[in-house]
Amino acid sequence: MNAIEVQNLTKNYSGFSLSDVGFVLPEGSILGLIGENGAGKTTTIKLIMNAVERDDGTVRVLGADNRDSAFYAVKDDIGVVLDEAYFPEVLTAKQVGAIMKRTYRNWDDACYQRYMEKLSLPGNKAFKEFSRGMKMKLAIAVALSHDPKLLILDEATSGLDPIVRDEILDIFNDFTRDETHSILLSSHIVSDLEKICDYIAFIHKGKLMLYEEKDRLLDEFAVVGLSAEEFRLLPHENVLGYKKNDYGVEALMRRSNVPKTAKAERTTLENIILFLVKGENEQ
Amino acid sequence: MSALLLKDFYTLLRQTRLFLLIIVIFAVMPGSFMAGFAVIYAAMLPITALAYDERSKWDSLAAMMPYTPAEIVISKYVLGYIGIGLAGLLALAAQSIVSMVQHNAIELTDAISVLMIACVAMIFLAITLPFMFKAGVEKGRILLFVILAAIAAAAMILGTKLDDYFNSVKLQMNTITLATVTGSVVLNLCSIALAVRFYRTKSK
Repeated sequence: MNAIEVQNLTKNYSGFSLSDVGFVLPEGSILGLIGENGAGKTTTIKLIMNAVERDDGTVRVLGADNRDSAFYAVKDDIGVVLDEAYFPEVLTAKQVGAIMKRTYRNWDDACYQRYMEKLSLPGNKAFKEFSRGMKMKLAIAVALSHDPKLLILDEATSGLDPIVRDEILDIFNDFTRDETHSILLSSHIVSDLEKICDYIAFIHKGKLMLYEEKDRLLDEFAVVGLSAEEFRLLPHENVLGYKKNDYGVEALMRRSNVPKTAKAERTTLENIILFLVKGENEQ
Repeated sequence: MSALLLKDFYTLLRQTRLFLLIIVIFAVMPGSFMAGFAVIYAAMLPITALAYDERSKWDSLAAMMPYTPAEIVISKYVLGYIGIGLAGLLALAAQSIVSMVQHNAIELTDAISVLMIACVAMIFLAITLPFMFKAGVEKGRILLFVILAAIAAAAMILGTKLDDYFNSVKLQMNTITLATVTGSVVLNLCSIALAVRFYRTKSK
């Protein structure tokens, strides 16, 4: 079963459109949604949760159409962490727990307590006195304490220091050890996604540029160093992106298209994204 | 819905202690005029709760949780009803104690006047909340002042004529009470339906 199925998802705002986005998150996997700020990641997540109404397309989450009234019950099985925690600022972590106990059918007090201890969250301190890292940790503790099958995380690790980010990524990794658990993780920190994701969807200016299994993506794409003359002779449709420098040209290509005389180097996800964006701008 | 009420309860208890204290003081002061202030103030609690929701952008998170738009909207009305009910009961209890201390009989009219004040507070709630859900608390308050000013102007213009009319038809107290209670309940049901509609449109 797929945890999320998105097809032809479209939403038009004045000044921005999300067009024809489609991807699948298979159960037991982590899908990284990459894109620069304003690319459409948050809009996609809002559309998946039916927090905004789509103009076109279909969305199924944990087997249910997200427009059905039954989807409210499905939300019990989804833990969401947004870019900010958005709890009323005067609440304490204990009070948040008491509220969530009445919100989620499967709320587990003991589990919440364990996460509070693990993440060193004070129970009686007002939320407004928390650092950003603590606020996000609280949101993550809440998202994980009602036995969710799916986690949706929108820039949940942005603005956190590397140590906290690593700690949180470990928690997400633990979560997907259960094969029925899945994660949709949106971020513009590509290194985080490269670390833990099985699938990558790259959104740029409201359009899906890329959706692929991460390992296949890294195996399939290569950066090739070429002289200016070699580059000129390449069929342009084979070049997905390029950077010119004093020594020649670096081009992103599929391995199957790399000329036999050129040396293809294994690249990183970050490089692929940069080449795709830059290439698009320059060509 | 109990989760949403609990959230508002925690927030209001921490943020508006002075406001809550004023409600209690007005409620226990003798005389239905002060009781009226207490009950109307209590009817403003949902607006205050909405303002705190807006400040923390709670709606963004609530949209991701298993709350329906109807639950989110109705919880604010219920918060208002609880506030009105508690302030009204407190006022009634205070008036009864004063009557007992003064060795006076507890009059039914005291209870009826508190009930009528509670109905007016419910009507206030029914008029204000849909605007708050539609335009947000800041703009909603401006809109509210305009509406209240229009009602006050209409009352000044039509007041004498209405007074003459009610005197001429000689309505019974029971009839007026029943009509007010029924009117406020119907108005609240319509208001809830409108507010849910506004909330759905705004959040989409």
